[in-house]
Amino acid sequence: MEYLAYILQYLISGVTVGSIYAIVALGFSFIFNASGVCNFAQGEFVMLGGMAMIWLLGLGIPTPLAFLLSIVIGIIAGILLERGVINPRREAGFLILFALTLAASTFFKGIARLVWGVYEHSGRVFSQDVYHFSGASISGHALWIIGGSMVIFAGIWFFLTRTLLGKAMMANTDNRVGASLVGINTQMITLLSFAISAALGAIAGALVAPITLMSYQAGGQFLFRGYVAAGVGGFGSNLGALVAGYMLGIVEQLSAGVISPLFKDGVAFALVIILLTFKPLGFFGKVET
Amino acid sequence: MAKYRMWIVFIVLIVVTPVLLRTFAPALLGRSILVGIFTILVIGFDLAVGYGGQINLGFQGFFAVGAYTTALLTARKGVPEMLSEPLAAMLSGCIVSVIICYVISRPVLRTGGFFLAMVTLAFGMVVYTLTNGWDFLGGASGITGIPRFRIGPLIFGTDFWYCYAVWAFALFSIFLSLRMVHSRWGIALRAVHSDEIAAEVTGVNVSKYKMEVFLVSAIYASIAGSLFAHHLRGVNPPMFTFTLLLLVTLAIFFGGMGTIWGGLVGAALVQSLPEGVTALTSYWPWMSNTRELLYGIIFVLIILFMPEGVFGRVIKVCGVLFSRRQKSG
Repeated sequence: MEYLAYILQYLISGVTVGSIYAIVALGFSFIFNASGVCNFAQGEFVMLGGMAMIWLLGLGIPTPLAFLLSIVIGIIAGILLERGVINPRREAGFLILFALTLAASTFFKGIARLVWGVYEHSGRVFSQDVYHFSGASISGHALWIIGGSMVIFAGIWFFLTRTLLGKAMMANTDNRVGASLVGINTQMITLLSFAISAALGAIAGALVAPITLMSYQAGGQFLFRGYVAAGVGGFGSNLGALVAGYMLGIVEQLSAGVISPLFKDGVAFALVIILLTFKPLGFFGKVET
Repeated sequence: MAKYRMWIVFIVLIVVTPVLLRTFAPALLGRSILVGIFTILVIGFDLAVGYGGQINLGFQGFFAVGAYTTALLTARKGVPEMLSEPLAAMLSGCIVSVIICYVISRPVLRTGGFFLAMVTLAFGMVVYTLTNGWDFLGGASGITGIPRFRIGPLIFGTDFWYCYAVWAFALFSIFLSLRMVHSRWGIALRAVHSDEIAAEVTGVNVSKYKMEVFLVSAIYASIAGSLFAHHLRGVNPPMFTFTLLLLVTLAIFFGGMGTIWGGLVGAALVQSLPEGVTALTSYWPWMSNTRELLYGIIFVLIILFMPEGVFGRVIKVCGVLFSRRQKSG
């Protein structure tokens, strides 16, 4: 019985971090869908959002306002990335675009280090409550993360399927040339996707900042997980990215609990290698790369 | 004669530089060794990425495999004498790297760049976790007590002599890469890079070439790793993070993708960046927090405005003077 409670506890923390990974993976998939770019600066959006959140809370700004402002900071970074670096070279190949986003991520890291220094910071949780049930417990903040991510996913789903702009975005994903022929401004769509994706990253960062340590180097871990989740889900599939994000979080926490916290990153990534050995296109993969 | 001019200049530089450094700036000998090791690493990466078009985000993992194999075989007690010879350890590292590389990349090589990038990325993370968490590999403090490099009775006991050993490897790897990319194999490889379908149609076995160049680049990384382990006489996990991959990528863009000599230039430039930043910060202490920012700005500007690399740009600018040398290289 006690063992089951442990497992339940790991599942809860798995779903909590999984929500974060799912948001990051969704952001990754957004940019990939709109422009075909593998955005290696995605982790920096998370880092910027998280650092900004901690910083603003430290200044005494109320939580909701700080949350909004850190999203704005993330969006600014996203627009800067698209307009400054990606758009001028949008015809370049995968390698150049990959290197450009990598370069941009170094740049964002540099900015963060200049503004917030090299030390790790941690923020204040949204709610101090802890709820107990059948031997396990869940903190109020974890509920905020899980609930918040659900709201975001519903919002994104609504945007993509029920609004004109969202439908234009889907059309652009489907066929870029076709979309531009029917009058969709594809460059605008790309910019929008970078902004949305950056906002998603910043939201993930702002949500996770209070329960983890943030520093200017924290982006990498989110990037790798977001990238892997987006890929395991099959690049370009939003639903796949979500499912894979949650699975990654759960596997990671379970292996941390059952095997050893030292190996928690390794187990998840080793599973990814094994998975791709048998399903080289991911779970929901349908891209013809 | 013009064909050999680059080689003569290069060999003279290799012979003379350590002597000059020992006389005037002994502290830079270690940096020179690092440039040599980094050159091998960068050329290996360039073969896969610049020539083959196959991105490898776990490249630092193969570097780590080489370094850790050397560390385990040479620094641990109870290893058979034959295997604890540095050259034998280096060879074992290569074999391990090749096997791992084959196993992880075989299934995804056909499915395109994104999945290959993802599998290699995952591999890099697995290597980091294993080295960091597994006691057998020394955990977070790593493995120390790796002996100096030696070939039989010949021991490279000081940085000065080790410099020659490393540069001999670098020279050989440049020579070998040039032979490879200018052979039939290299031409087929470039065909695969520029258009896979067209290459396939003209009878090039695309998967075979992709696999081979991937294995070759893993071998380069592994050899560089072994040399690195002998240089620092110890290995630990933070040496093999994603940052290393970032530096290697920076180097191939500095030098220009798909140029072997450019790899050398890129490696030298990237390895001198830290010295430059240190010099700056000693003048202006407030600059100490701007390291990433400087790297980022340089990196962005180079890719945006000089995608053919600093080296490639220099070749274009110098035109006549360098064009003959470029052909030889």
